[in-house]
Amino acid sequence: MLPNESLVNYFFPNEVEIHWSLMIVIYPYITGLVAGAFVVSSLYHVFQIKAFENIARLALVAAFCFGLFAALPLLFHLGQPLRAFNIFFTPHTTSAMSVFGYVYSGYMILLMIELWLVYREHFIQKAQETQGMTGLFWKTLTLGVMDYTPESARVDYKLTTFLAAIGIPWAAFLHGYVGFIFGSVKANAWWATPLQPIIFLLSAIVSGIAMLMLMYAFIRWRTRQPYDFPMIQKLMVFLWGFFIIDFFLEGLEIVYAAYEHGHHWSVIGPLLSGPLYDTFVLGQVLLLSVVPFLILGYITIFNPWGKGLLYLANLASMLLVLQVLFMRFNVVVGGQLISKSDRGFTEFHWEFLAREGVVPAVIILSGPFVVFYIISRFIPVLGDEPEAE
Amino acid sequence: MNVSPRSHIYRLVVLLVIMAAGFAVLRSLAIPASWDNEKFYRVDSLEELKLQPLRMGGNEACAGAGCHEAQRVANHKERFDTLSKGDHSGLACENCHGPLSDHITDGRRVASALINRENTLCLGCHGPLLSRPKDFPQFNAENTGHWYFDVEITTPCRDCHDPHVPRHMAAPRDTSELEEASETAAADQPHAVSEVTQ
Amino acid sequence: MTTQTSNARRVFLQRLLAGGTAAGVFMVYRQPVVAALSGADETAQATGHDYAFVVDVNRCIGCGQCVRACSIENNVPEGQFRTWIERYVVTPDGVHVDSPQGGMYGFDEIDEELASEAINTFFVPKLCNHCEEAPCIQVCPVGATYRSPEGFVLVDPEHCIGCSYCVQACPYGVRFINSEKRIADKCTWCYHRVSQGKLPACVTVCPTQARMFGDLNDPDSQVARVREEDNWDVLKPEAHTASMCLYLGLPRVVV
Repeated sequence: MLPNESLVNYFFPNEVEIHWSLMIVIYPYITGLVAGAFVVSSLYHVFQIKAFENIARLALVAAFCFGLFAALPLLFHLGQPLRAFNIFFTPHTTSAMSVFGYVYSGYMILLMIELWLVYREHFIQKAQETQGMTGLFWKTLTLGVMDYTPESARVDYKLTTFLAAIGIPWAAFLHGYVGFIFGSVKANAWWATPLQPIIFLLSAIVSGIAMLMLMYAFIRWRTRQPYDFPMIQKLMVFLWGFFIIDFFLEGLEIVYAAYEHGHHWSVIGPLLSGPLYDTFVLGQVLLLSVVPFLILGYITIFNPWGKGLLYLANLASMLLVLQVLFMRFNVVVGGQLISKSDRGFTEFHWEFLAREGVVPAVIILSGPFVVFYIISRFIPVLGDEPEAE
Repeated sequence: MNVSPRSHIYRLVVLLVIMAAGFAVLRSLAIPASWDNEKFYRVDSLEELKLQPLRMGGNEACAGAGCHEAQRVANHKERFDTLSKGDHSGLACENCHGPLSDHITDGRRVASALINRENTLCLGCHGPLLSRPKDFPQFNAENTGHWYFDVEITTPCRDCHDPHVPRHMAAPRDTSELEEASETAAADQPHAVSEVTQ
Repeated sequence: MTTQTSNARRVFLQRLLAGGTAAGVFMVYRQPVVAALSGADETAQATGHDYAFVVDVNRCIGCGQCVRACSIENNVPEGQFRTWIERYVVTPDGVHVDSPQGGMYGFDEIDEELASEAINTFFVPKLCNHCEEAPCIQVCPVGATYRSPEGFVLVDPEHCIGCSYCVQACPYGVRFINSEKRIADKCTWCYHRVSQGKLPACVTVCPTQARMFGDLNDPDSQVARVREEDNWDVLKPEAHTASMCLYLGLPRVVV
C-alpha cells in the first residue's frame, strides 16, 4: 500500500541513497549500552541496592569499554572524518548533534575518574608488588600516591558516590540527546515525536541490563565460578520493569499516530505494513518483545531458581539485546525509507565490506568485548576473582 | 609522613587543569579567523564561493559584437538580430548551442559552438506531451501546414523552420545555401577573440 | 611533611588551578572578545538585497533544460540533483508522480491507460527554497551551512564534516552528500553568478520563463511584483520554513 493516494512508488531524485546507515544504527546502540551499564552501576552506588554489589564493578568497566568505541561509528560515517574536531572548535548549539564532542569526552573523563577511584587500591597494591616497566605502569596509574589510608578511602567513597550521582543525568544526556536528534526532525514523520529521547533512554537501560546479564553469565561460566542467583533474579525483575515502560512508550507513539490519523499516519501506516513489516512487526515486536516479556514475567512471578533461572535469564537477555538493536535499525533506517514526497518509499541496501557495511559494524561491536577481556586480565572485574597475576 | 587524604585528588585536578588548558589553547588556534560568532559561519567562505568558474555566459555574452567580426554569414550579431525578432527571442542561445565555456576558455575560442540539426533538439521542447501547458506550441501532424506538406514527426523540422525565426513557412525553403555557409564557418582552429563579455 | 610545607603546597596548587583556569577561559573566549571589543562587523556588508525565486507551474514544459544547465554549471555528479522536474498526473483514483533522471532528458509520454484517466497533468520544478527559517541551518552541528545577508543558504565546503544531518532535516529533499566531494551540497541559486550580476543558470535557460529570480527590494523585479500580488504558495507551508521559493499556480496535490 502506497501513501497518500499514490499510484506509483515515487521518491525524490536525491533520496535514492540513504545517508544514515549501519554506522548510525550502531552508534546509539553503543552509547545506549554505556548509559544502561552505568545506570546498573549506579543502582548500587547511588540507590544502595545491595543485591547488585557483585555486578557494579563489572557494569562500570563495561560502560567504559563500550564508551571507548562510541565515537568510532561516527568517524566511519562522516564524509570528512579529518574535520571531526570541528565539533569541538565550532559547536553550533542550535543543533543537538553539536553537544556530542563535549558531552561524550566529558563523560569518558568522568568514567575514567570513577574507575580510577574504585580501583586505586588495586593499583597501589600492584605498584608496590612489581618492578621495572610493569612497576612504572602501575605507579603512573597511582599518580605517585602510594598510600591507601582509610581516610583517603572515605574521600574516594564520597567522590565516587557524587560522580555516580551526576553520572546518571550525564549518561542520560549522552544517550538522550541522540533521541532528541531524531525526535526534533519535523521533516521525518517516523522520527518526529517528543517521546523519542525517553524511548531511546529506556531502551538503552534495557540493553544495558540485558548485556550485563549476558556478560556476567558468560564470565562465570568460563571461569567456572558460582552464580549469584539472588542478583540475577533481581536484575531480571528490573529488566522486566524497564522493558515494560520502554515497550509501552514505543507502542504509545504508534497508537497516537494511528488514532490521530493525520499526516504522520499517512506515511507511517504504509511504512509499518510495507517495507518495515518484517523487521518491525515480526522481528522487533512479535519475536523480540512479546517473547522476552513473557519470559521475564514468568521469572518475576514464579521465581525459578538455579539452572532454570539461568537459561531463562540468558534467553530473555539475548532476545532483548537484539530487540534494542532492531529498534535502532527500525528507527534510523525505517525513517529514511519514507520519501519526503509523501508518495512512496526508497530502499535500504545492505553492504558488507563498504565503509558502512556489516563487516565494519560487527568489528566495531566486538571491540568493546575484546578490550573488556584485556582489561579483565589486569584488574579484578568481579569482586571474588582469585588473584591470578 | 602525614600525607593529606586528598593528595591524590589534588594531583588528579592538576592533571585535568593541564589537559583543559592545553585543549583551550588548541581550540583558540583552530577556530577560523573570519568566524562570525553571531551568525555562526566562516565569513571568508562567501568570497571563496564567488570564485566558482562560470560555465554558462548568458545571451549577453553571445551578443558581444567582438565575436566573429570577420565577413562570415553565421556571425553572432546577425543571428542575434534575427533572433530578437522571432518567437524564439526569449530563448537562451546556450539552450541549443551548448555552454559558453565549451566554446570559449580564457578568452580564446577552443571549439565550435554546438550545432545540433536533429529533430530531437526541437522536440525536446515541442514534442507533444499531455502534461505540457495547452497554450504551448507542440508538434501536431494534423495542423494545416504539417498536414498539407505531409509532415511527420520524423520529417526534419529544419526543412521549413529557421530555428532562429521559427514561425512556420508557407513552403519548404531551400536550406542548401544555409548548409554551405555553415560549412565554411566551421574552421576549428582556436584563435583569440578580441572581446568576450563575461 | 610539616604543616608549613603542606600549606605552601596547597597554596601553590590553588594558584596553579586559578591561573590555569584563567588561561583556559581566556584562550577559549579570546576570539569573540577581541571581535566584540574592536567593534568589527565581521559579517559581509549587507548589500541591501533580499533575493527570492518564483516558479510558475503553468509555464513549465518539462524540457529539462534547467536540470542540464544546472548540472553543467555546478559540476553536479551524475545521479545527484541540485534541481529537478516532477510530473504529476492526477486521476480520480490517485496521483501518479515521476521524475525520470530528475527530468534531465525530458519526459516520455505517459501510457495510454493513465492518459485516459488523467484529470490534470503538469510539471513542477523543484529546487532549494533558501528558507528564512531553514531547518538545515538549525541542525548543522558545526556551522558549515548558513544564510548569507542577501538570503542565500550556502554550504561552506571547507568546514562541512559530511554528517548528513542537514540532509535529514530538509523537508524538501533538496540536499544531498556530493559523492565526489563528500560534503553536503545543494542548489545555491548560483551564488557565483548572481554576485557577478548574472542570473542562476536554470533561470537563464528556461525557455518559457517558468523560473524567475530577483531582488524583493527592487520594486521593478518580477519577484517583487509576484510577492505583492499575493497569489503565490510555498511547498509544505505546514513546516513553517519561511520558504523563499514562491510558486504560482501550485496545484493542491503537489508536496
